[in-house]
Amino acid sequence: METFESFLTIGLGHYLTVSVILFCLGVLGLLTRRNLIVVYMSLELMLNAANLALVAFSYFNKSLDGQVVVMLVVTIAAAEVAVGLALIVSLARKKLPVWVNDLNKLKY
Amino acid sequence: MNFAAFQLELGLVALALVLLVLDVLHKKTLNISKGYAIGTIGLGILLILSFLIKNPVIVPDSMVQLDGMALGFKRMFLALGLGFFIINQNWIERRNDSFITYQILFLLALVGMMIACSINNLALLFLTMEMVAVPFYVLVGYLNDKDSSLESGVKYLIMAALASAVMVMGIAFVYGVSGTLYLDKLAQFTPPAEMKTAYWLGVMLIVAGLGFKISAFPFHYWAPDVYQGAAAPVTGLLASASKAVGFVLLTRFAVAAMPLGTAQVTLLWVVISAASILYGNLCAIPQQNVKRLIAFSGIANAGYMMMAFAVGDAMAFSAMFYYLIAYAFTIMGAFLAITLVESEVGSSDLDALAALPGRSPFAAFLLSAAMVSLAGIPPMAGFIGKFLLLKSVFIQGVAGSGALIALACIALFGVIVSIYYYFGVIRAIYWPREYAQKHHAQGERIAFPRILWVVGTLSLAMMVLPGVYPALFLKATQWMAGALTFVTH
Repeated sequence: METFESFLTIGLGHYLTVSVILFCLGVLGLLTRRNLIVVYMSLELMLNAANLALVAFSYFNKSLDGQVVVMLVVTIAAAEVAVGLALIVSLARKKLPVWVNDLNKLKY
Repeated sequence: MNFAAFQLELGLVALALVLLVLDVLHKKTLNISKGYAIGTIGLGILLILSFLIKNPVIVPDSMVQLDGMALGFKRMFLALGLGFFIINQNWIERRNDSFITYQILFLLALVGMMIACSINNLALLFLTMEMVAVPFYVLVGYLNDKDSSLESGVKYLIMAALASAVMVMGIAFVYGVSGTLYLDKLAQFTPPAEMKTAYWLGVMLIVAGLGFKISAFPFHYWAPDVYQGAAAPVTGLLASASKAVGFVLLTRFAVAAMPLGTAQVTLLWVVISAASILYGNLCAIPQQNVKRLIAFSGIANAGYMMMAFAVGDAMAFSAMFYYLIAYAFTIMGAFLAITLVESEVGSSDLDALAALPGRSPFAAFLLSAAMVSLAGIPPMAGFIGKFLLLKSVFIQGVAGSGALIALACIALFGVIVSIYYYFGVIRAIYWPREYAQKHHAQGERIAFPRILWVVGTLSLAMMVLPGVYPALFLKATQWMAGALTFVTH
């Protein structure tokens, strides 16, 4: 019973577990999904998993530095996706596919 | 706030903003030559100013430190920036393109590179890497009328974003264990035994993220495709400036966070650098496209430079800085010529290089000189650089590390193999195949403005002078490496 109660008290380990699971899901999505927009979503998932770990560490270390880094990461992620969507738009304008499998001209 | 360490960056941001505002005031018709003149003169003034700052500015508890290493690399990036600004400009004029879009992105990436020289904080490590990467996503996919450029843009973006996500995760773990983001505090921190795994997991993730930037062996997969697909001046920037940023950041991080020189850490770097040298050199042999060839040669050169991390003392790092600076300027010269070929012939295959000797003899000479220097033939900088790196590896290896002796032998083997494909480029220039001779060799002279002569001569000087008079340059790089304090926990 005691171990069950300590399991229910949310600690650093719980946050880290969730974060690592999210990160692995992101990697899995990146490797298996074929649509570029879904690939970008997986990348965002990985960045946000890292953010969760940063916030958790920041809380349990009792310092605010980690939370500041999260702000920077969120900003950068937005910039990255903006550029990424612009690239997808240029692909679509040229009537090129947005499927990862079809981007294979540069290979020999 | 440590403004003294930020002077040059502030100047560069001001220059970029002035150009942007002028562009708006002229209703987007900013005369190319006017913006170009302002940009060149501004970059020139900043370069001179950077040589006037003599004394390092070290402020305790600051996120940026202007120490010897930072100052030296800032000068390098400004000189490289000035050279590439002119090369870009020439390329833009040939394309009849908009001046501001390309050059502003380039100048803003340059700001990121300059800040990266003086970081003392993991948050800035991430931030500066992204400040360089985000403009490059756009630059790589810049030719949006060409499928190959868009494809390489998408590939670069996915891989770079993956690398940065991995790096943020690593920063989270290092921060979680050590409780600090400052590199100087991290250097004094010894991970407790029960936290060692988490700490080293974080360090490895950050090294993986930076290894992407320098295209080290297991993280190199993007390099050949992206180099080939991007426009020639962008490829030049990726191969020189962007790779140099990776090495500066990696030096800052590895020196503070890893006890370089201890057996396990040495083994890690020996494996990565030996694999990079072998893979890069062997895969470069069959290449038929000069940009793809330089991508593979860049993987091998990253391997040579990573030997300094395997040794991990001030002498090895001064040799690495020497090699890195010579390499960056050599690549700049090579891409001056490749840009000319690509915009005139419309291809960057080895066959297209046959156009150079008849149509632009100086560019042909410059590209051949760059290849000779990269191959490590005696009077050039590439030879002294490889010699100094190998010397430091041998000295440490004889002192007792067998892995280092093996690494030195692999590096020597790599150098010998590389002579073959570097001289293949020279053969393609002066003794082309019959097909290339028939299709590309004839044509009128390529316009070669005087200012390009200046850039070419600068690059040529940086290939030859460090080779024939190493003492002066070695003094500078030793001063730069003297700023590093190595940890031994």
